[in-house]
Amino acid sequence: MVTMRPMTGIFKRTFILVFCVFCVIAVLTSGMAAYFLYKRMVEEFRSKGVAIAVSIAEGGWDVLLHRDAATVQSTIDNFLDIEGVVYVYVVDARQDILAHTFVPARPESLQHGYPHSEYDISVRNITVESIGSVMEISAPILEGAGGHVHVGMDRGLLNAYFWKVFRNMQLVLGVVFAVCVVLLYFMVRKISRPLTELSDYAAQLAQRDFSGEISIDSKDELGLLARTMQNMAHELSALFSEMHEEVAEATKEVRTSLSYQSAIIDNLADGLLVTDRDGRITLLNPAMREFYALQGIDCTGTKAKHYFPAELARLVAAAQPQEGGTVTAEVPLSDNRTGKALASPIWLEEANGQCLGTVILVRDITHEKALDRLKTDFISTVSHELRTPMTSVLGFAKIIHKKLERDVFPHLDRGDDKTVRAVTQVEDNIGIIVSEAERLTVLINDVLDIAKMESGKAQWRDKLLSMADVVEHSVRSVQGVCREKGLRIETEIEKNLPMVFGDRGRLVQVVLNLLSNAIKFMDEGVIVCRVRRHGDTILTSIADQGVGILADELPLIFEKFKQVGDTLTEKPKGTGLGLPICKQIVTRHKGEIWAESIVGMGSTFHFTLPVARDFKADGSAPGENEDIFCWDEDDALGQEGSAMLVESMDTGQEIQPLILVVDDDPSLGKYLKQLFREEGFRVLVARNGRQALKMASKHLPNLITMDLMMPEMDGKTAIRCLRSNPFTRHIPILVVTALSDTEETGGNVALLKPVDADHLLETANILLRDHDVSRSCIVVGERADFEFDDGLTVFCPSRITFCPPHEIWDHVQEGFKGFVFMPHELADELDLAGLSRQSGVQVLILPEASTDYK
Amino acid sequence: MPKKILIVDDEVHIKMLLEQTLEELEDDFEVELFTASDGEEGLDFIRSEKPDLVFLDIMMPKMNGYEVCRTVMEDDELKHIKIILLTAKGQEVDRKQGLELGAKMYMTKPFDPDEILKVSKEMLNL
Repeated sequence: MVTMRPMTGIFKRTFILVFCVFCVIAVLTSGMAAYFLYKRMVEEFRSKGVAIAVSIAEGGWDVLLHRDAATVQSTIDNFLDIEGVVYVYVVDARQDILAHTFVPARPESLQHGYPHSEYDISVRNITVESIGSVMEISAPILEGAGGHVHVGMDRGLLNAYFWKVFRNMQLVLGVVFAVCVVLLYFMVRKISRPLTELSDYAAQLAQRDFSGEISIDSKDELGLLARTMQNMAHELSALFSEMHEEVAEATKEVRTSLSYQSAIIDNLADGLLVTDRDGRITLLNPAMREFYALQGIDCTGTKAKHYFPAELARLVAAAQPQEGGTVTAEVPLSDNRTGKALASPIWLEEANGQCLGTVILVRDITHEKALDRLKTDFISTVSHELRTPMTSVLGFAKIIHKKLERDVFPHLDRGDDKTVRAVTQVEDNIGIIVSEAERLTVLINDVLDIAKMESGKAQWRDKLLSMADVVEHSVRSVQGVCREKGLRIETEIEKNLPMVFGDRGRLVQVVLNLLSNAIKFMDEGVIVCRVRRHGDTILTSIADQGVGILADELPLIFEKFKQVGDTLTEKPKGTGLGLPICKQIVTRHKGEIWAESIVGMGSTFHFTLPVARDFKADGSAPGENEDIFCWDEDDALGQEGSAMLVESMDTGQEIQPLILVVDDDPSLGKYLKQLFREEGFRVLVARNGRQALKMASKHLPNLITMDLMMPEMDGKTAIRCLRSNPFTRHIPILVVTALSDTEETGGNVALLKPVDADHLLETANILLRDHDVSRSCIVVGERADFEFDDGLTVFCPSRITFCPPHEIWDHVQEGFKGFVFMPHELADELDLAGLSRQSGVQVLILPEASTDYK
Repeated sequence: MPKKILIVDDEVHIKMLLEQTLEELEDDFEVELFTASDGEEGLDFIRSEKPDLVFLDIMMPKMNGYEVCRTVMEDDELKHIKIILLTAKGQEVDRKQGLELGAKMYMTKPFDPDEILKVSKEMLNL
């Protein structure tokens, strides 16, 4: 049903305008028509009046002349019946009235004084009292001689007639207009109805209702439009339903894949935690809830730190700033379990690498930890259990040998051949027992070494060292054996080699292994040791002139228990573990090891070690946290600190050691402060790593106790920074940590929280004593060679160690810190520059005058 | 007054080995040898007899070598006593700790009897 719309504004205005125009037209038209009619009527009245006047004047002149008043009266009375005639009267030449039609008498205004033409018909308009506006026509009788006839025509009648015509015209036009409007309305309606219907239909379509039908079947443009619209609607309807189906299908697919994914996430054995950029929890899987006993708690939208331990919350924060930075840490779980958490930022590639948050996977490694501990324990136990009997075997064999030689053999009768043979055999046999036991010991050491290295349990004491020194040291060690075998060793070491970073003992082990291999497989010739720089690495090569190795056996030599050659006919010389151990050690130092050989000509073993500039000075491996930013300002602070140190030394006063306590927990900081105060130390407290760095470089404390988990800068980073600053690197650091896994923190000693007060103080004292630079002195040379002036003993009040020149490096490697005194003639033989580069080591060369040879 | 050397080890053979090794000193110098089989016994002996030199094993029942060493070094009356830690090389980790506790030396098993003799003579200034 089409409803009538309210009249629109424009239609209303148009209608009013049309109405006004119509009114004007109607008034003008009817006015004009009435006016023309009026004019015509006036003319008619005039001619009518004239005719009457003339007919009276001409027809009755004789009567008039006879002054027959009655006849005249009857004549003029007849004319009064004619329409429009108001009065007729006749006057004689003297203007006396002969007859009139007035009732009762002629009005005053007509009685005298009329100027009228004597001889002609005149027409004039006058107003007569009691009659109104009158058109008076006068006609002379006998050219005025007989008087005049006056006829009055009623003009009021004309006016009334005019208005009547005007009114009637208006009425007719009004009716015509009304009819027109009605007709027009219906016509417009007839046109607009389909339009309205179409627009309603379009509106319906716009509301996605395609069910409506349109009932226009005319053949004109509207019909065409309607049909097109209907077709379009059908098309749209089909499209919509198709789309709807597709959307439904896609939704279903999405829902399926979502439920698939959520099923995966829910069934993950690892705990999954997703946070947004503010560290708020957005997703948590059941495993994670189980790990932290959060079942049934709605954690989403809450900051991770509310529900998870600080370690995990820190991990969440740590994974965010670095690009692609994945951070791992061990975190405590509920029920005393341990988890390994891996946090990585979520990067959205489309959004210009915008970070959406962090995803953290936590794996319960309690079992693995236990296994790991078992493995460590196993290695430790096996090592103990194997060594103890070996100790007995070797020890007793040596004692037997000694006792036989000393107490038994001398008393035997050497004359008896049998006895002599028995003695020789016993001596030989004991020798075999000793040498075999020694071999077994080496094997045990090798097996345990490799087991430890492979399981990552080996301890590495990494320091800056000179490869030249390592090689020289090793060569010295085998010099004796070489001389016995008649072999020569030559060393070719490039000058001014950069330092490498590594475990000196292990590197010596590598070189010794390679050297002893060379010696083992050579009967005569020269072994050449070369050390030279090769790009960013130090290349060490050991070339022998032995039997050589077949090319297809070369790749096997670094495998465990692979000794080249026929093991059935040739007695294996060694454990077969030497080279695998070398490989493990070199690989651990991020170097490479390989061999070249020509059968019959000899073999050359090479290994490379990266130059130390890739390492931080404190012991961290390269590539790890390369971009640590230690100092906010320039190292000006450090400079200042050195000046202070000099000052405090100059005053010479006995100053109590200064301890810097670094801990973010205020109560623990306070406790440690009190503890050290009571012991008579001076104490400073820093709340985080960054603060600690500033205070350390400013006040140069004698000892630092360092917490590991701290805000802003953690302990590990702080230690690294302290160690990389030449002014603070000597300060002993006591790590106080709650982490059960102390890993390699870089500190001197690590103590576990809760800290036993006595143990802590004792350790602090040991560290303070050991690092007291002013007290430890080493004098290079034999004691007997020297006679001191008192100066030296005053300078080194307690300990003076004497050591031969080649052992000085061993002392330094073992952590010696203090003064090295060296007679000037020995100065050329040692790597003075390398020595003085070591932290905490000062080299003093004694001039000739201060030493006095016996 | 004879110098006293105490050997603390739970392994009977090792104890015997050390004893036999050090017997040589008994012949040439005024030295007395004592043994103990665990940490507690060793500590009791150290307290009562105040030996001059102690060979101390680390892995022992009741009380380990570190604890014995620490207890001795904490006692003002005992801290002059020279302690040599003897251990299977397995616990290299603890070497530093041992020295920090005040032990004079750290020897790994298997050891050479001659080395033991030499060290003992040095320590006792014989």
